[in-house]
Amino acid sequence: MINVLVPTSAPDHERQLQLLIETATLPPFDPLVVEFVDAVSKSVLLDGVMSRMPQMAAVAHWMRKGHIAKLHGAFNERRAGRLSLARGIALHFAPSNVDSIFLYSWFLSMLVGNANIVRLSQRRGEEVTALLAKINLVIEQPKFRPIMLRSLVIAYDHAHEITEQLSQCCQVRVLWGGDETVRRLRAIPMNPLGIEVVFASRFSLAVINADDIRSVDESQLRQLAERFSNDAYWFDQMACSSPRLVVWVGEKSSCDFAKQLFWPAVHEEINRRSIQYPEIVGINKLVTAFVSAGLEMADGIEPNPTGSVSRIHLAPIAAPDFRNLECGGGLFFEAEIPRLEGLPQLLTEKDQTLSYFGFAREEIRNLALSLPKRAVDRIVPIGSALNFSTVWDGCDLLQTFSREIDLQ
Amino acid sequence: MRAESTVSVYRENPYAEDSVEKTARILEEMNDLTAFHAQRCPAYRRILCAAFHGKTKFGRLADLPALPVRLFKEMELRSQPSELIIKTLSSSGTSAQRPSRIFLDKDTATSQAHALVRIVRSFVGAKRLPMIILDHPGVVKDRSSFSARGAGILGFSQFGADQTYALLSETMQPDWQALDSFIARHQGEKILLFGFTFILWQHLLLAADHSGRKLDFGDSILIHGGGWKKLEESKVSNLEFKQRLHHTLGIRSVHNYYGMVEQTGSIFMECEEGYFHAADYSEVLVRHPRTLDVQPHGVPGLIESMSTIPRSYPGHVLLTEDLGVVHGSDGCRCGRRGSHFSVLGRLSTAELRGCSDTYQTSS
Repeated sequence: MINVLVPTSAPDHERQLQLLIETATLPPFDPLVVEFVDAVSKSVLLDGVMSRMPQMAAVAHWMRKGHIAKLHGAFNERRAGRLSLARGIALHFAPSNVDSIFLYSWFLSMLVGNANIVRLSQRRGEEVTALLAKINLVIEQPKFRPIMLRSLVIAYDHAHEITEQLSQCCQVRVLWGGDETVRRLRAIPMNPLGIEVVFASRFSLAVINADDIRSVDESQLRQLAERFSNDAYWFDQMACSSPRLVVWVGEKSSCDFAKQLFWPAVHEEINRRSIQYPEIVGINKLVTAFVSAGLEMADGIEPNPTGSVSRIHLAPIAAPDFRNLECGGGLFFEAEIPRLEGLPQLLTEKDQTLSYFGFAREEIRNLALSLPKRAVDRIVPIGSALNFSTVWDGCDLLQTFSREIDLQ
Repeated sequence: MRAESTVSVYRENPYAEDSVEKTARILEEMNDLTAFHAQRCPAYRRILCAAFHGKTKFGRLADLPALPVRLFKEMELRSQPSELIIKTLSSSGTSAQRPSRIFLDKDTATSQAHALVRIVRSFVGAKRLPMIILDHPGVVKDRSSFSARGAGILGFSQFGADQTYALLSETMQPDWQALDSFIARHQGEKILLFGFTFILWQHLLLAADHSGRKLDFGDSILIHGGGWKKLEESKVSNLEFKQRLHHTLGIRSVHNYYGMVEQTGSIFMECEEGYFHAADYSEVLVRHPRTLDVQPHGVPGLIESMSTIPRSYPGHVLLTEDLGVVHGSDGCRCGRRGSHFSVLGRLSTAELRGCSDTYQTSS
């Protein structure tokens, strides 16, 4: 069963697919596309309910004309006078944990001129449904018909045939998902001339200068807790960029003291937001904490592991696969190191976002230069871990979604 | 060190002990078992160290370290070397989850059987009764590795004679011929029936209604267990269930039991008043589902089940994902002493959306 979610005017997915195949690509940053993206932004911002949801507001601001102009400027700057065109049809497999990813992936590809097919998970959040309704209202406007003809958003049950059919007619395949999903999808053959961009399961961590926390005042501490909570709790800690390990840098006494300041502040912030997960989430965290202790990944479990902030201490001998304990809902491993220079030893290729607090830019830059193979693609201040960037997992999406013409 | 059970006197009635004495005895046995497993099971010891400062002696039942029952699905927990393991039990579980693996040595398997005998005999009497097993014979084929269903059937078969399976293996349809001749063979005798709640409901009761058949098991006692979840989905109450059993199959006396593969043997039987009872081998507490604080009698929460039996795996204190309420210790109108409680259902299994399921579907 294949559901066409966008556009609503499409008779069925087959005929819409035919339209996508027959229609030419658009030039990068075509004014009509920019206008369309901005129109979607406006429709979200004008919606009293959606504009108040922090995640939707972030998406809407990202889509605004002014921001798109910045992306365009950066795109041109990188091109430095060279010529880039769309690749053709891009096929996106969206992840189910972060509702906004499908839109970023789709719209960036649209902005460089591609036609797009987006496969959404059957388990979509309410935000996705609301967002699709807005997009449908805009895309069906007569002036945006060229965009309607180049768009297809579908949902379907586990079916290889349709995935294979779509994969054969796309020039770019974009896979967002867990390792198992990525493995299964990659095994399905695609157009030999197509390229594939893969965003598999990652792990993220925060690093905090313990001495620095001791010197902040109350409002700065509160602000840090607020930013950390955004990073950790917005997507129930299930986004790849949500921190799941907190590394404290400093002498032991300093780290202990910093924790006593930091965690109560986070707790207060979570209470202020009245974040409360279903009871089973607390039990999941208890199970995960005990599993990690039993498997020698943790050597300490703080009291109340079923509460909204669960802390477990990473055992010094923990195998790196403690990263695979995907639990979410506010479960944090903690470790201490005396100096930032020691951090690279803790990192693996699975690590994506390192969010930091209390370090000078120079220290962070030096750290970046000593990263081990493949480890860490983003180093951002705490509070920005979930900000979407056109460079993701080390890959410039605008560049990847377009092709360069060697014009001599 | 080897903790010896202090239930040395095998009283006939496993529901006779004074509640104050019982609490003290269970606490002592639980402390002994905690120390025993801490010494034998490295993973258990590590959990105690990480979460309970390595303590193995506690002053109150409420303080005892409980393992979430799902832990047995996530990791191997064993307190005996593998060469002493004679049987591995596995829970049926849902298809998405890994099953529990429960490792039994000879002592633990024997204690389970003893406990079950004392508990069940106090309901059905010492005599082996002609017995109907409300399942198909294929469930118990492989004798080295059991599903919870198979283990239950084998465990209960010892209380019966002339064990007859009610269902056909291939089709799961009622074996009418076998049932009719069983009833003819045992006219006027007391009959024991055993099976799993949902199998009984779906494959015998509904099947009989469907084909317009009725049976009369006469003076009969039914023991069933395995969970109410699927019946709850079809909106069937315990009362309606009993009425229909009486109407269609002529079954007079019905006892549900609450138990888990992780604590086989020390089951909680439903009394005539409709409450589950903790026998000599077990105790229950109810905890707040978020704080895990012990709830007073009458207040619902997560059921924590203690059993004096497990020695080959650290399963003596388990926090379940079942919701229940303890009504009191002693004082049930049925006359049995000990904590009596009701099971109210399961904690709902809402899942946080991970990024691992782009391709999975919930149809």
